[in-house]
Amino acid sequence: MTNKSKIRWLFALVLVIYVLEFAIKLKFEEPYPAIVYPAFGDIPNISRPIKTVDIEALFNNNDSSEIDKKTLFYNLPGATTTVLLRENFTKNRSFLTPVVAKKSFTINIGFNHFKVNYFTLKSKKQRENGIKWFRNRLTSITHREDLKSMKVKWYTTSFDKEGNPLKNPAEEFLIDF
Amino acid sequence: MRSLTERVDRIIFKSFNLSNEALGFYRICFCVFLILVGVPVFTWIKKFPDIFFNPPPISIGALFTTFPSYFFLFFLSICVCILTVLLLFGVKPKLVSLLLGFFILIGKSFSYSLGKIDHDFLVWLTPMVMAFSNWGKAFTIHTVKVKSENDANSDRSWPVTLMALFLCLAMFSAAVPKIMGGWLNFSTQAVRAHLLSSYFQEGRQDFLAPYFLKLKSRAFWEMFDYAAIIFESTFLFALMKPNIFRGYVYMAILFHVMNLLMLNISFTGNCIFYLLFIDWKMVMNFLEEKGVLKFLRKMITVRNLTITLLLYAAFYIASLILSSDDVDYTISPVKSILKLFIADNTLIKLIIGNIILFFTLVLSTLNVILYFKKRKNLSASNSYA
Repeated sequence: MTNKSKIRWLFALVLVIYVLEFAIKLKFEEPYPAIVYPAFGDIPNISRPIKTVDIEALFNNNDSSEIDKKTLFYNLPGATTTVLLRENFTKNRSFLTPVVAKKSFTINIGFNHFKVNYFTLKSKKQRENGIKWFRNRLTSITHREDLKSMKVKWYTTSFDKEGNPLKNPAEEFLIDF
Repeated sequence: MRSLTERVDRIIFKSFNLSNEALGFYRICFCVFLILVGVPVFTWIKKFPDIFFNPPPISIGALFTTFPSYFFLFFLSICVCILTVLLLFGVKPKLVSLLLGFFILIGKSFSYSLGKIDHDFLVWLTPMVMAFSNWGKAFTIHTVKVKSENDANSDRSWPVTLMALFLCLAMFSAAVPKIMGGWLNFSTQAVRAHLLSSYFQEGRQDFLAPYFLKLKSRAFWEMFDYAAIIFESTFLFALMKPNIFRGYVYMAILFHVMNLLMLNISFTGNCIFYLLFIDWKMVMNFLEEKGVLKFLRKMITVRNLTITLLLYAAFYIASLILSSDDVDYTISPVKSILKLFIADNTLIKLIIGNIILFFTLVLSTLNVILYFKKRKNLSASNSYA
């Protein structure tokens, strides 16, 4: 095979891989690495409430302290913090769930639906380390040792005409230390 | 009539014939961009517990069950710093480019195992693809023998076309979900909806955002929706003609400027990549006239390489020791200097991003003006003849 034809095949291969990855992104979840850009295809509806979150540290003497989520996660970008909270701090997706968390996804090929199950391993030690990590973070932020628990409070929030948030409590997630 | 293979070959091998000097200069620009704006580092990942390890199901990260050790991440980070400096001076350019791209890719795979993927794939893809071009044949500390003029140009110009193809495909991937999401529906003004959401829900209210908020004409906003989709979905066809492609790249730069002014999103990581497609002949002639290239040739020495390498490695280790608690995806001397005067990390990123975007806009605009001037002169001389 000549050099030129090898390069032609390389271009063809790139196109094939792209089509596969793009289909996976559209049908299921974005793979990495993938040659795709964010689309912002969903059209936001300003009148529809969004999910917001507050974090609170609770102490033994029933005191509580509001925790800035950016500070808690070492000033990670806002979008990453939101994903972290969404993936770990709700009833459906909790980092405190049993040792093996079962996840599944469906691939649609034509009229056929294929359900694929896969497992994410979350050992007991990892969960314990996770709780310890939060305890240490909250201790260093609040400078208090008498921590009882950490509360993640979810709200459905809408905005008035001036852009002021109107919060309605939705779900609470508790980590006991 | 030319056959399909001939047409494909013309696009792949003849679209972007950059001289070795231009490619070498671009390699220097790429490395300087990384060093000044920020070389990706990964030790910050270990700030987080393994319970947060949540890689995309189809990814390199999915092959593992936890984040790697701190030592591995440190090794990866220091290698990326060293390889960037080595590439700047053109040491073993092919091997170094491939390793640099590979190490960044591995590091990013773990970075995005927290669950959120950023779309900065060009930072690792550029060195990996350009490794096969002649970007290591000029401005290097080695003396490089070029087999023939053919080897210097057309046979090795395909990596630039491949990069162009990647850009087209990425743009196309952004267009399809927009069409599926209803952007073309006249009853939805998607760009305006994003502006409202960004303005009120995310508090992005700077630059021209308040002025755009006052514009309520449906036709005006629908035009934006259509323009975005037409632009992103037809990028692929622009690959047929290099100058049309350059026009599209220029529009992409304007698109980022618009994003910054309207939605206050500074997306500057792509700027250095866009510069790959400008007409380098004009730039190189200008730089040669001003003696910049002569100066660069003098600067590429083993002595300067050693000094830069030691300084940068020392800077990285010092920044690790002295760094604050905050997560920093990259290390950069510019950022560190700005941090002495400005406390807000987001503001620093915005300042650096805006300077780069402004520089890219000026350079590409000059390029466009010079192109039209050249065309005008050419047509004038043709009509005179």
